[in-house]
Amino acid sequence: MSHDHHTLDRPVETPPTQAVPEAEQRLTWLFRDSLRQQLIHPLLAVVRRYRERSVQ
Amino acid sequence: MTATDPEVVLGRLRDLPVLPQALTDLLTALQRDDVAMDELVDAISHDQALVAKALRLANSSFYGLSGRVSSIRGAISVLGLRNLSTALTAAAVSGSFAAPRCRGFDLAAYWRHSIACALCARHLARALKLDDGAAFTAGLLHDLGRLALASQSPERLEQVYDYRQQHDCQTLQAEGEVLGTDHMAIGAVVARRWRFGGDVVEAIRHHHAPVPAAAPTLTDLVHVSDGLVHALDLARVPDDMVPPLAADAWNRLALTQPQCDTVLERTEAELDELCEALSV
Repeated sequence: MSHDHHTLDRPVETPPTQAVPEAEQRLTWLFRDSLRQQLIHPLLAVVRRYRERSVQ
Repeated sequence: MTATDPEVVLGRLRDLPVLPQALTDLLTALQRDDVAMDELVDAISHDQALVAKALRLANSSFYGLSGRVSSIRGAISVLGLRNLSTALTAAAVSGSFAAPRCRGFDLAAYWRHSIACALCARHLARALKLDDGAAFTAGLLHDLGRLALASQSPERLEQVYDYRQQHDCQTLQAEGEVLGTDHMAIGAVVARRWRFGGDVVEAIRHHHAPVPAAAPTLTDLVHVSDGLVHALDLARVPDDMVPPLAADAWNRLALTQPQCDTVLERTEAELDELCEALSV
């Protein structure tokens, strides 16, 4: 595992892969879009790596 | 949407809880370099409730000495001056608001998240050699606006929760739509009224959107800590969400994964004990 700081060189919110729907479905859409693009919130990624290290 | 004055939303400002005068005196005294121990002992001793809290904290397992401290002078020795002030601030603020009667607002979850954020911010500050006392206080108070809203204008906060539910959006967005302001602006008003330092007020005011800076700021620390403890799911809220991360703030802190691992481990390890010590 790299010990380097994970620099964010692009916006955290990536461009949508399809048109953003109306507000009523927005969170569901964001969730599915994140899965589709295999994206994960950077801090969730930090916590996931921490959890993986904890169980080793 | 027209911006609304947070004080208008909050309404009954004069009904806001006041922090104990003894705590205000203590925090003021601690800002001086030449403060004497007797002066600090006097400041705390004027308020028996504060004395009881100081002794309870000094004897809690969180600070590692169970049942040995029986005087304020002893408490200062055990806790240290900076720990004493941050611990008493936490005790005073957590005891200031009665349980709000607001549908959708979970007071226990609120304090658990706030204390987790305070611990995380303190450990991040230590890792980065920044002011850990201010980081703890700002982390503890970062969502103060939500608590003030739940306490002072519960019907308005319920409208926010209803809007969020109906429009499937983040709470911050719902606040803007319903209130014309948000919990950051409201919290800053309360913290300023309670005479917390300008950097703490600034961190509360901007913790979801840190302003550009050349070096890491207290706001950056609270912003990242808030996100990390949401990601850890420490408040045990079923529909908890991790707020968006500001890339600039993250990059300014320049944290490594091993640093994050240590901070997260210590935050998790200390959370239950501090919640218990503060009776929240």
